[in-house]
Amino acid sequence: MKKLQLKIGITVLICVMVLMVAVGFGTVRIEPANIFAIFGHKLFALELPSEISDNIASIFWTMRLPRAIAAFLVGAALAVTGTVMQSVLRNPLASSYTLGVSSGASLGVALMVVFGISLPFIGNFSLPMIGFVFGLGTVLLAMAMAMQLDKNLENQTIILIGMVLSLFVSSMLTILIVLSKEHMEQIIFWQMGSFSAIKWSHVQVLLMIIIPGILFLMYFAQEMDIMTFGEEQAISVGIDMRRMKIILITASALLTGTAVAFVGIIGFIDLIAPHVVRKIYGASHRIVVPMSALFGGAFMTLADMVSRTIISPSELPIGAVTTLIGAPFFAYVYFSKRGVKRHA
Amino acid sequence: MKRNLKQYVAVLLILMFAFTACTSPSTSPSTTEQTETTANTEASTNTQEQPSAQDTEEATESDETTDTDRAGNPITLPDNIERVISFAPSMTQVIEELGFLDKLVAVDTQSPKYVDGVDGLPQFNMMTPDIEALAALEPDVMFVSGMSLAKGDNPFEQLVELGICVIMIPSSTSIEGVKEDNQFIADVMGASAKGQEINQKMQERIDAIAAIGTTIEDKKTVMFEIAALPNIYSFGQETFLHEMIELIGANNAFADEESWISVSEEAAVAKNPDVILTNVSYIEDSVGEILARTGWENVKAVQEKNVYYIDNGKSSLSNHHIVEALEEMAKAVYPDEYSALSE
Amino acid sequence: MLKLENVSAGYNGTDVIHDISFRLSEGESLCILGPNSCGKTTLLRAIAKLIESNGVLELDGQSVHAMRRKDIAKRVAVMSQISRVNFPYSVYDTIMMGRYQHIKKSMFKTPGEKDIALVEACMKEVELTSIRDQMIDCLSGGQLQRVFLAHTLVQEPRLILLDEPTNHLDMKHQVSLVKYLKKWSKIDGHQVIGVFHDINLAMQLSDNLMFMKEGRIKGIGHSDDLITTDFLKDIYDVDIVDYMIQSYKRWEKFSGK
Repeated sequence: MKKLQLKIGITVLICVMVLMVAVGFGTVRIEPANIFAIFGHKLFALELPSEISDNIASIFWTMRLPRAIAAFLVGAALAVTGTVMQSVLRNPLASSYTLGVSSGASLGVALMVVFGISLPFIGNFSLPMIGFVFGLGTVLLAMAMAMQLDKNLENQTIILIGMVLSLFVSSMLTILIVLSKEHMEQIIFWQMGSFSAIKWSHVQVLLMIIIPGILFLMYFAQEMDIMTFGEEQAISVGIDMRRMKIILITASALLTGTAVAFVGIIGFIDLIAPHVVRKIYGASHRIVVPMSALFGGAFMTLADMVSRTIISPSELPIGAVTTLIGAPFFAYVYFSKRGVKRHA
Repeated sequence: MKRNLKQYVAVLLILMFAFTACTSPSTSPSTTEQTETTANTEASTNTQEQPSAQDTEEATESDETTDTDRAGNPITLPDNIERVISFAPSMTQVIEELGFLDKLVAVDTQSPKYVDGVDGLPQFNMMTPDIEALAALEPDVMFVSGMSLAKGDNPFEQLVELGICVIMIPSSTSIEGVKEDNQFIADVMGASAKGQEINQKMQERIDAIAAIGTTIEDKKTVMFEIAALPNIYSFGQETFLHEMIELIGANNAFADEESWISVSEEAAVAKNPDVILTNVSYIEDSVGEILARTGWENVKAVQEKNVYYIDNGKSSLSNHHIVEALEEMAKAVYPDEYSALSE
Repeated sequence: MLKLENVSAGYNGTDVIHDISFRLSEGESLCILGPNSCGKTTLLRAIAKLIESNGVLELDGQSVHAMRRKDIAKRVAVMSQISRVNFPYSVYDTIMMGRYQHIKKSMFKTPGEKDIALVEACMKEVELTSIRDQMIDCLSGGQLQRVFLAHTLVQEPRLILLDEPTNHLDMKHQVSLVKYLKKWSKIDGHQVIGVFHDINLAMQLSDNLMFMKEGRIKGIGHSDDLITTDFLKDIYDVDIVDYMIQSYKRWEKFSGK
């Protein structure tokens, strides 16, 4: 137990450090001391030190800080949903993306871009809103179809229908792009994923949805533990599997949909976070879910920092960075500790 | 351990290949993406570097001595050039200036926006031209720019095989190159003298600007956007726009970069330019958009409202009109110093 | 009291078991026997409402079809054969999961005093207290079985359904498991329904037997009344009685030594 507490403590510490590093690095390097100074200036109207101009303080406060926070939130959301989906569907490759969130959101965004739709009242948030609605809608549609076809809502059914629907939606997207080539670049850029457009207003929305969402999923940690032993065991102990699946998958889709709506499609984290976290912390979801959030958050923040510094002044698409860093890291963690446990 | 290492490497390689296969290269929104270097200028034999005052009276309809185009491809010019196709607005404008607009039998889809009198002609998409329809028009020469090669393979190879003279003129990366392009087109069309005249006028106006530019001591930092948010594009060295910024006596904010680059918002703000120029025309109020950006309030150019629009056509098409953009830029950045400039 | 009348159930629209009727009173146990694919497991799953079924299925007068999952879970527990697990949960945590129905009522789903006491007691009963913190993916088959037994017991069911629980266990553990279940079934009106392959082992649990063949009940009652050579031959297509006697004679020789 002590060991676990130590691990958790270290993880939290690493997260804080990563955040500090991420907001400190960029086109302009800002020392930790100055970071606090800027906080003091913005929150308590203290004087800025001489080496920090108003412009640099602007960069930090309106661009870097919201961006780092958003990256952390999005990374946390994606990691948690990856963990939950893998547990629910008992499939190491399962994720909200495979059920159609990514293709749905892309289609929604593409429709908006091509037809120049803008929603009243929410102007700036039109794009995220449409992306979210379409992304979530696709998953709900998949679930509805699965429920019709299979009363018991077996995992295989869910996964297959999700995949088929996802591919179908993708093909609609392809056709749309081909018919309106001048928007192709914009759509593809969006799909590649980026935190570059994040401002405080976005962070507010992300905070309001992602934190409660993650807490909500954490509430079902016990159920997810029991579900790992198989459907029959879970039912026998008294879990309404059908209801639980609907709740968990919908909640996951909500979180993923939100993330995707704001920053495009960033993959890989939802796939590897669960594996890495389970390797380190064991199987109990009460620990694994929040740790996934921290791990995913730190990882995404780091990846975002790399994406915007490595070829400055240009930026690498963050999806590429998460995979480039993530793949070797994952291989190391997964394959180095592999070993079949022998029975007594 | 060895086995683990192999797996590790295999996973890494697979994922890397998967990634490179998935991300498709995007074309720059600017119309001046170049694919060839100007090293090929040596190959074109008929270009004249110095603007001469006399017309060469022997200008005939055919100048067969041109063996290669501006990209170094071997070409054989026909004796008579009556039917011309232009595949980029920059070249259409030059043809217009030379007085040969009536020889055009087809243009690209963008040309009518920049040149009057060609919208009646058949128009082809720069990126995906209909080869059969092009061949059916039986052109004598076809001027194409580097834009059409952006996809990788040459869509015009079939036409070359059919015997049509396809002349490749990659977008030039310097003002000198632009002049050479002008001259080259003029030579091909058999109007070398007119070409020299155009270039000479260009040079005169450039010199006028340069004369003032060199006297400016307190150089302002200028950032020139060719695309706005969410993906800001600007440029560094090896572009004629960069040269133009330096000519007027200013410093390009991204002088230490090369060619066309995408810049993150943070990088742009960090540069803290004195003046921001933009030739973005696909947004209604590109100047207003820049001034309203969150997080840009403390940038010098925004604080003092030194954000100006430069005509898109004149600053993005690589031909003689760039001097007009040059003058716009000069007046925008240093209104006092260039107030005496006419036009 | 468990009551079945004309129950039929199956998969994908095809019935595997037909016309099943029997009653099981408080304190009674039952062993279900029969050849492969005679429907034993299907029947068990129908009773636990793991699959849909037709006919009358009542538990203490209430229709199981209409009962909600959590109400069923409070009375019925299913113990399936789990031979290996891949997840590192501790023995204690795994057993505690059986208390799900009772824990989930609390705010943060933390076990209460009663839950803890019950888990401790069960662990002691099945002699797992010494390895309470070990991870279940490191246990032997016998230990794992005891973990799941405890897991089932803490659910505080009144009826335990077992599907060939001794399949993968060695002799010692087979015997001890069945002995324990028998002990449990004597308490307080508890009922056990176990599906067995091994008739001898089944009779260790209870003399109340039910033989199935091709989805139907061929005979149900006390072993003394039910078992005859012909009866078993009809069920298994093999002379079981003769086989057992031959084995007995061989074993008798061993005891003489």
